[in-house]
Amino acid sequence: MSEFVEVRGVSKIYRMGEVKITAVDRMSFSVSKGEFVVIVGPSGAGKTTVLNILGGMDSASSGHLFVDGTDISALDARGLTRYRREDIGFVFQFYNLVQNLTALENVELAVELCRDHLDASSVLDDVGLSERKNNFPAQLSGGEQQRVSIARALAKNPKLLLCDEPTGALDYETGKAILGLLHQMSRERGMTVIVITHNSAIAEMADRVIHIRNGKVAREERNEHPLPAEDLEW
Amino acid sequence: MKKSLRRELFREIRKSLNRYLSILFIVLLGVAFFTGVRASEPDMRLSMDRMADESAFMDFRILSSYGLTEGDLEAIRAVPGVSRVEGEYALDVLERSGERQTVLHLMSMTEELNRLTLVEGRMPKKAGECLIDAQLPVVSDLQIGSVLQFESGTEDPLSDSLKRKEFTVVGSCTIPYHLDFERGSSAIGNGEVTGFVLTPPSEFCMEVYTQAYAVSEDLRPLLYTSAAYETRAEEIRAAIEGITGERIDLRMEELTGDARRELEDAREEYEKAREEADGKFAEAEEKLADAEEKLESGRSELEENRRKLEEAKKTIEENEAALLEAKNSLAQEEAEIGALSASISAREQSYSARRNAWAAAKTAYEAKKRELRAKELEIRITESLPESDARNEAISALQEELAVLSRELSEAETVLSWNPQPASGEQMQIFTDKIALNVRESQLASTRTQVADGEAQLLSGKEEYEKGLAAFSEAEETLAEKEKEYEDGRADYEKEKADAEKELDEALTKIEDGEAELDAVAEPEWFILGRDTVPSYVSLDSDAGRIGALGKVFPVIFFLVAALVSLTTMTRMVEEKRTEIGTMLSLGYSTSAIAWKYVAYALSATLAGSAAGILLGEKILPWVIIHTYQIMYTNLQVIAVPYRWGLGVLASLAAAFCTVGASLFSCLSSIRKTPAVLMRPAAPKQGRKIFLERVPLIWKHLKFSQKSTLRNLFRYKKRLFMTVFGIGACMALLIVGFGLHDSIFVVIDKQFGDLWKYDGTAALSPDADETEREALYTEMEGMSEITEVLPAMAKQIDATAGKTTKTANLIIPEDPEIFMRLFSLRDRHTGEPRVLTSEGVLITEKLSKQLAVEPGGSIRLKEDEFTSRTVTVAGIVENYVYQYIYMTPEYYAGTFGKDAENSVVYFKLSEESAIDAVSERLLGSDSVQGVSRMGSSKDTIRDMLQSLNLVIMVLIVSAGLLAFVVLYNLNNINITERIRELATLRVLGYYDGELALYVYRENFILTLFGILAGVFMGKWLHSFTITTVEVDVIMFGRVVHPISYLWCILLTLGFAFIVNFIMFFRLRRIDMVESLKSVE
Repeated sequence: MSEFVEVRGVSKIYRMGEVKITAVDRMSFSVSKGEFVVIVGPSGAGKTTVLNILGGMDSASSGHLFVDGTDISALDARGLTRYRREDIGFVFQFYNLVQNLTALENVELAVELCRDHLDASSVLDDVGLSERKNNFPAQLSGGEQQRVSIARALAKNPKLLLCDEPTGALDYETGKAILGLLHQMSRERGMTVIVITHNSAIAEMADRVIHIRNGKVAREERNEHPLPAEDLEW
Repeated sequence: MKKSLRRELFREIRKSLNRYLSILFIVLLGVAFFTGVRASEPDMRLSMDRMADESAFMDFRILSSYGLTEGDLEAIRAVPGVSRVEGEYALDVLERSGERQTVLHLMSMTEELNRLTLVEGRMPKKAGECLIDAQLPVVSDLQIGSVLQFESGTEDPLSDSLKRKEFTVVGSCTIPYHLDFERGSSAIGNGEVTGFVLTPPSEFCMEVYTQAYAVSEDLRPLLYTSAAYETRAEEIRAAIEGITGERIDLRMEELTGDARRELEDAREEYEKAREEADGKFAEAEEKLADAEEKLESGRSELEENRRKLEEAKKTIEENEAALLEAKNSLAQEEAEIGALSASISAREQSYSARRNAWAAAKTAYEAKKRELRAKELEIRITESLPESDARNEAISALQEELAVLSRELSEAETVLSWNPQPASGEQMQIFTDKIALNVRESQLASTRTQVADGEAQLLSGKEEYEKGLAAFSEAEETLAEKEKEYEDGRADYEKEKADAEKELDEALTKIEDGEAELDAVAEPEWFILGRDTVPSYVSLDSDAGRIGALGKVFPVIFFLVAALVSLTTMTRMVEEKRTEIGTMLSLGYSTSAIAWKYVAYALSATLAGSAAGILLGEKILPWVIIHTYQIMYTNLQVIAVPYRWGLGVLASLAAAFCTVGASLFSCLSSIRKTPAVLMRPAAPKQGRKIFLERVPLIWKHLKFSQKSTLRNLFRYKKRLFMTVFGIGACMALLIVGFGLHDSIFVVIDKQFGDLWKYDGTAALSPDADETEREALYTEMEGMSEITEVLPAMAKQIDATAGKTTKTANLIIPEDPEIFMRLFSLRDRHTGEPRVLTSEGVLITEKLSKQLAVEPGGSIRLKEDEFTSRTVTVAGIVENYVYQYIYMTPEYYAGTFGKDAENSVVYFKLSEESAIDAVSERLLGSDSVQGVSRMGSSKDTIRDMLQSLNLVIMVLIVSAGLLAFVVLYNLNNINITERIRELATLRVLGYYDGELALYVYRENFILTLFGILAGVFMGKWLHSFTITTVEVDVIMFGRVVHPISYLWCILLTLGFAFIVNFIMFFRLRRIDMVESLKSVE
């Protein structure tokens, strides 16, 4: 088991009455520790399903998922929750901040959950929100909210940072800034980051790019020289 | 309406069936409860009316103090409006089986009216068979097949009224007259009727019916207790009243006619005898008067003679005296004359002696004088001689001689002066005196003759007087004889007259006694009583009133909560559909078309809920309540629960108004915005610092999750309010339910346990005089079972303060010391004892509230039309049943100016079980009119309130149901609103339990707030309900026991727990994918 994340022959089949829909079909790939990975594909390719399975929000119908040597696909509901709690950081497309909590408190909300966490305040400093810690989400811009979301994911000190279309709700410049932040965090902390997006332009900044189509891995490539985020264009 | 819209509506309903049903159910509950409880009161009355009508229950009960004859019944039958009349024989008898003696009310069976319902066995077929009260086999050992042995409870033998004394029980039955267990009281035995016995009229040998029952067909279509019934019944009653005068006269004639005529004859005879006797007496009287007159003239003649005699005697005495006087003066004259003549002769002698002496002296003096003169002449001659010694010597000698002579002359002069010449008048005087004396002497002689004459006359007068005196004595004797004769005659007459008088008087007394006896035969009095005097009907009616009063408050609260919940739900729905509304608007749908969907959604749910609510509520709730009351009113055989559309329409309209109004309001306020605004997601509610954060001391020490909970609480203010209000209302309803129970049962516990410590009351007979009463007190004090005896005056009285007048019972205990041992006088709040003194009166709490008087104030007591006095209120005492004014006899005497007259005797027993024996002994005394027992009053009130207790259970269950629906609904809204947040938390790795806690912590705090609010709301609602339900004679407790609060809190927490438990499954099913969706 050399790779940090190993997806091996994972399938996900939804049953809707008589109809079977195969969202992910015997997919296999792997991610090394500290890599910045982008999974890219068009709508309906099975990106979200992969994300759900990687994030422990859903379990695979067949196949195995290993994260840091643990067979995630063998866990029960409670085990999956513990996995989400301890090992996963999640960055949502729509930030999903609790509206009623300040930036700092939103981070604390996640920090509370795990033993091996970072200091909420300093993480916010790291993402550049030192001045806005006590603001409520509604008082923050979209980019700032996404920074809070990232800080919340990082503060848990997860093994794996999953980002679902992190720039989807943001404008061009802000999106790039956020990607830069993610990249920086990955580099500085040696964090394994998986970004899921339909925007193939982002792929250029990744260490490894996984293209999926119709529930299968269409192509997998390694970038020897990933571009810095600010140089991306779309 | 556009087809697509309609289809959309149906889809919407199917999709959000949960929400749709929750509106439907809450409306159903609200409407069902509202209409159901409201319908219960009229339904109870209707059931009672049906029951009465179906058994041909009497509309009127007619009693007369001398019974009713067949003729009376006929006359009543003829009264317009009266349809049927039946007479009934009845009397109370004693039944003795073994040791136990029971009082039974024996009645003749009626044919058409008051139809009995056979419960067991068969109807009597042969003589000597009877039916018994269906409750008798339960409460006594009398069964079907038992042979009843009747005894009379009075001095009159049973055979006067009944053909036999032994009856065989062949069946048991109920009669419509008794709906409950109460069978009334009796003047025989222990005073309590245990049950009734029915037997055919042929078993009775009474001359007249005890009472008659009448029904009127006119009244059948009318609901008993309705105003229409009362008006018509009063008309018929008045019509029956109209014939009573004539019937009473007829009956009176029957009863007393012959006797009266006999007496009239006797009186006539007496009058005649009287007249005759009076004539005779008058004649005798006249004769006697003549004799008396004659006697009188004789007596006056005699008197005249006596007077004359006395006059003569007086004259004689006067003459005697005069004679004596004349004699005396004669003697005196004689003496005087004697003395006078002696003095005259003495004077004569003296005169002549003095004359002689003078003459001698004079002669001597004259002689001397001449000698002197001679000497002087000699001297002068000598002197004329020449002077010579001789001469001189001669002269001196001469002079010496002269001097002697002169001396002798002066001596003679002196002698002469000593014997003056008597006056010549003296001799004259003596002479005249002598003449006068002679005159007197001759007068004296004539007087002497006169005296002698008088003496002779007097003697003859005396003789005459003696003669007259003798004649007078004779006459006097004769008169005395005559007088005696007269007296004898008079005495004879008096005796004769007295005898005759006595005889006549005796005859008269007899006649008068007879007349008095006849007069004492009081005119028979008729009583025409309606159904409103039948105890069980009255109490059922007032029970219905109580339910009605409950129905005024409870369902409204219920309804309010239901309306509020459906309102929140609809508002929430419109908020959720914001984007859709925006889209529809941008597509060009009109405002009304869009609003239609929501209105139709709410309206259809409401109408369906209302319809179901009316159908179920108006049937089930009244049925449950009436069925509950049947526990007490076992003989209420009919339960009539018709639909009352008025109530239903009212409730449905109110419900529709609330829900449709709510949806229209939120809908319109959304639609007024531009579609563009609507199609953008609603700006998320801004997080805000809450007040507590400004208090770092507290805030800093809170755990993170607590902080977030607090923020969330204040963030969703509407939900906070709704939940607090919803839970509070349920809590309040529960408190009212439990509180009613507390308030009602405190009456029994406190009134009968703490306040009234006596075991019974004996009512004194008004005929008993002071001695008989004293004897009774002594007898009671002597009974070993009785420990305390307290005679007192008890009287209903009108008490007025300001413009309010209330009827209260005035109690004046003979001995306030004992009184305070039998009645606890204390303040309800502090428990401080109050003492009955002669400073003023003590009044009970409710009376003081109604009259609004405080201690120190005054009230006016009206004893009767003519007597009313102002008294001072010295204190207010705790009391729940009836209203009392307590006063010392001294105070009464001081204010009313007369002594209190005892009318009851309170007594306390050594043990309660002795009541039967004591009661029987007391009823045996003539001074006692009746005995009431504390135990049975307590049971009566307990029974009465027990039924309310079951109704309270219904209320509690309903409140619980409501609590459940409200909590469920609110929780549901809560979760739906926050589904994204909750999904995110799951993604972040919250365990199910943690997630649940995150939500429940808020719920729990809201529930606590709700409970807190509910305690206050409940307290208020409880006291409001109590005052609404309360009747004048009873004061319910005002306090809800702490244990009841605890129960309510536990129940509310329990409901909250169940709802949250159900919600847990919902939370677990939250799909994490929700968190990935975009904000709507």
